[in-house]
Amino acid sequence: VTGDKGEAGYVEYVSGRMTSLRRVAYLLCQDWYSADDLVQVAVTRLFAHWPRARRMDNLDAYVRKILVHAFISQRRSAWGRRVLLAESPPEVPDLGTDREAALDVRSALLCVPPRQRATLVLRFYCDLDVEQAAAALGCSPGTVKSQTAKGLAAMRRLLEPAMPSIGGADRG
Amino acid sequence: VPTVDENGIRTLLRETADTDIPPARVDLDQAIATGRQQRRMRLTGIAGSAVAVVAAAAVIAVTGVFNPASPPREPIAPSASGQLSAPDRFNPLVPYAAFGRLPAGWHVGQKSSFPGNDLMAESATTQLSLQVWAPDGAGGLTVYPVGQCRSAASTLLCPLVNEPWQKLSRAPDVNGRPAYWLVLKGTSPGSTMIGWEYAPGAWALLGWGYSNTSEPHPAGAVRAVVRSLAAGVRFGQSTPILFPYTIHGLAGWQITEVDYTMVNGQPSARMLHLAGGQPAGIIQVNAVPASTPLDGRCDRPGMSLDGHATLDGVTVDLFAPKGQVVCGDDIDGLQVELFFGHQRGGYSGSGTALGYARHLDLLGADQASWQPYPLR
Repeated sequence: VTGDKGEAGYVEYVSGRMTSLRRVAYLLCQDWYSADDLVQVAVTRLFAHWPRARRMDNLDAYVRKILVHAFISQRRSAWGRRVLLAESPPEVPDLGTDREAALDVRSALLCVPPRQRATLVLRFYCDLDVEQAAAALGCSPGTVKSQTAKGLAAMRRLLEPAMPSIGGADRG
Repeated sequence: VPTVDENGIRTLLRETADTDIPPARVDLDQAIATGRQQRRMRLTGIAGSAVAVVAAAAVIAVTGVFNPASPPREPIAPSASGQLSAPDRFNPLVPYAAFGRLPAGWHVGQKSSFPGNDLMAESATTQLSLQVWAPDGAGGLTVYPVGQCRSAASTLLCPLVNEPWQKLSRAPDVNGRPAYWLVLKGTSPGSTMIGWEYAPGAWALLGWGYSNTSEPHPAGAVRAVVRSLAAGVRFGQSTPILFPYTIHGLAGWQITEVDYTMVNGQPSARMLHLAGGQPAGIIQVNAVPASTPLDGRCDRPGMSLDGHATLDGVTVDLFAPKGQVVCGDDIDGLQVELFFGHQRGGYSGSGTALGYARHLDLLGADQASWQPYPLR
């Protein structure tokens, strides 16, 4: 595989997945500015590993794993936040038309610890089952279950005052 | 309104993600260039996990090791000529700069009012980063010590940015110091980033943006906000960051960075970063009042930290240093999290992080008991 051919395949793959990657990153970060920084980190790492990655059976899962790990890592280390300075500060979240409801949900998501938030996004936005989410997070299925339950409980706790008719039980 | 069960969360997440997506800032050319560099480093035997640690160590090496035992620097007084003289490195325990008086409704930190999410400022030897939020916009300030940025006729190159800022045009002086409107190559010329030489050879950068939902603002008005904020920045501050703990017996470790937030108008520590040890490693300490949410990386059965139950965990990360983390949920009213990782990304045996945690002397949740200069 020549560098050019590999590069073209990389560009084609990433371009095709860009929107979905950005949406997942947005759910994790809760603002588009940080989301794009996160995607930038992820696709950079993907290119660094592209010769091996392009032969993987489930490349999407691999990229998702890079994205989630980059997110959790950045939230843990200020190094990650410092590497990607850019020309403008983070945007204030675009709250859309239903500002108050959106603010509630996104503020609640921001209050859920990063790994629980990532677990919720993987399970309920990316529709991964427990085993797939565990592979993406690099942890045991049991941990995914407990993180899911904690994340749901945290969301309930945070949204309860704002939303009537809250129900449902912890499920993992 | 969806209920907050699994299906409800699914609905909420989809509704949240399915907002109008703005144009991407992701730069594939840059990703390829940087990714290629990473490949080369890997091929030459530098493990990715080691790079971050080496880079952090390099910062220390370049700027000189900060000695936590040394007395804090005095505020930098203007010279006889009335000119501010910036240091060649900052004391990460004493944030060098602060925003001046802010309009009502503005505050330093993140927009969310939830505790634990007020984004921290970062104080390190080579830079200080602060954010400020308004009801309809946000700004970011980065201050560098003398000699960190290189100014040329048309560019300004500062650390941790991959390419130099382009000087769009001369801006009105900030407190009598030369200033420029800046932009990164290839981005919109409507930049609201200003860079000014706040002291000879020392630069500060400040950017501002309004939210997508706010009313359109004329470029001139945005620049006026930026200039006003820049003019209000106070340099040579001497108020130290308070810590809810002291640390004893960590000879050979140096403080590389302190993430802090403002509590009751006082800079108060969040994450303390240390580098050193043998083999070279990093320690990160985060201790906050128990009511403040933390990341929650610990989920394994724990061990005892001086009689308090703790959770023990191993962080598994593809690229960052792997390491161990120990968490205590409510120890003397504090949530405590200590991460330890070393350069080779290996594990030093169960309980190593706990061993380092035993070097902490916790001071409780009452800010009045907290102390500056944590290393003893």
